[in-house]
Amino acid sequence: MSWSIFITLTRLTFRQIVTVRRGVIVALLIAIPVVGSILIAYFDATENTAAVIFNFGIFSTVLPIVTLVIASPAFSDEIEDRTLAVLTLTPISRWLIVTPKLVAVALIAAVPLIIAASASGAIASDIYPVSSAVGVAVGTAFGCVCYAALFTFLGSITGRSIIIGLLYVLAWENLFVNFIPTLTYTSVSQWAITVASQIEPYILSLDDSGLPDATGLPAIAYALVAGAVLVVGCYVANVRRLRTMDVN
Amino acid sequence: MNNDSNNVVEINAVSKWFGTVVAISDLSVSIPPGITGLLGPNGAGKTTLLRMICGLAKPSEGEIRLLGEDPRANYDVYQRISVMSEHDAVYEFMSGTDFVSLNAKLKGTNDSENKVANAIDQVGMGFAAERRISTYSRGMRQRIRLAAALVSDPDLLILDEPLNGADPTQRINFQDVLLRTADAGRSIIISSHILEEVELVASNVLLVIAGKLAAAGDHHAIRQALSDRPYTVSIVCSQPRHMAAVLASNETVVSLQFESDGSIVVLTSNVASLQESVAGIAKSNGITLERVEPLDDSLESVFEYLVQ
Repeated sequence: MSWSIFITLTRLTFRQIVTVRRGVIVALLIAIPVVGSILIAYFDATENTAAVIFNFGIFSTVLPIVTLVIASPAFSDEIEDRTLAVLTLTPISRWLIVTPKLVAVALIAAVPLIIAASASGAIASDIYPVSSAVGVAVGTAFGCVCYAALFTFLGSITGRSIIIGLLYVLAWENLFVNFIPTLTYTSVSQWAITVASQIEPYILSLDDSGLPDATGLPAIAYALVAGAVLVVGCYVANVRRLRTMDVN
Repeated sequence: MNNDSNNVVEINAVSKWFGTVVAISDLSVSIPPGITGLLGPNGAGKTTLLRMICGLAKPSEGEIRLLGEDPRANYDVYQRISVMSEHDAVYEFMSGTDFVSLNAKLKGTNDSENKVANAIDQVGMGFAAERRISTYSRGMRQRIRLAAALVSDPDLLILDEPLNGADPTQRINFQDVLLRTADAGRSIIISSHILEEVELVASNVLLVIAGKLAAAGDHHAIRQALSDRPYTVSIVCSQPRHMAAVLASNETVVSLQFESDGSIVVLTSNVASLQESVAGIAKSNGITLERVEPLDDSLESVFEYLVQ
């Protein structure tokens, strides 16, 4: 790999994606779990109420939507403003175009998400052990990489990636997965919760005996393998897409 | 098609359609080294053809060879060409220097710092090179994009409507840069919908209309073909009946017609000869000429005539 090209394109992607408008949107989104945690602490909420805020607030909603906002324009903006040809009409491999974009997207999305997740865990530390902040942060990082690959690819195949991505998050991750238990195996947010709960099981809601309830969650091995398959699959498809698409 | 291996581009029975719309239809042509002008009205298929030539779009049918190779995702070919699309494709948040440097780096250009400075100087953008591109006028953007195309010292430069938005001075500078680039042994394909833009720099001209090759060859032959076609000319003068009576005996006049607004509409087989005659008649008969204008001098009408 040419590190010089990699660094140049990573910096380029940073400059393209990090805008004031996106910064405001992301700040508002990551404030949701932080505010939720403050309310948990203030009202001395039960563990199960807190678990709902973490599992649904962070993993099922804020994590995918923030990553969507960051990842979607990585290619769709280049296609829309026709600068993609600046990159594709050069003697650099397509994977060397996709890799820095993916890395930049994952970093840009992961940093605010991990900060928000850690802060939420720390604020709610009266209820949760301190390790919950670590667990939520690691799970968030894992989910962020998976969603980054998925939504970056989505941005390269459609100009409506934000709308389609939002429909996917709201309908699939937050509706169908909750009503049809077997669909948890297809849910990136459920994989991320599995990873987080491996580090600190008490972020999950508790069963009648007061123990963490992991019912319906996929096994950790499955979550890790499924995440890897998704990331590699979307990455390869993205490289192939750049090789075969007509560029305006 | 001429299969001379020196040709920079070989296009063989290429068609391109988008759904039911045919953009290019069974087009075959060879493009030799040097400067080639791709001429045609808006919507003729020039941009689609150029996109296929440089590998950005795949032909629906047929084959294209660029510098002897298939251009689709061909990194060896991309090392040797530069493309300036018709679109304003720049990273607005960059300075001019950053944008040219980015192109140099992506092309793997050696000694890029000097070459970036040289390319920017060539297009006369040194005065604004450190400013953000978002503050540039359309003409300045065109020039910085030309610098970005020149910085890698390509064997072939493909320019799609590069003079759009340029003022007359910029056009002259632009043409000067192209001629110097060609003198350095580089080939250039330049598209335009204005014949005068192309004929100043291109020795070889391809006329494309409705996705088909209408004519190809030396620009003098194209110009002659344009001059030989019948033109309709409107004349507004102080004594139209007197002017018409004298013009009626002119052998280049095919027909005459009076319009309700008092103008004379003349169909002539030689517009240059008619222009001289009208001026002479007006002078010798004391007629004041208010306006002499061709009614069908649009490029579209010229192309339609040539296709017929």
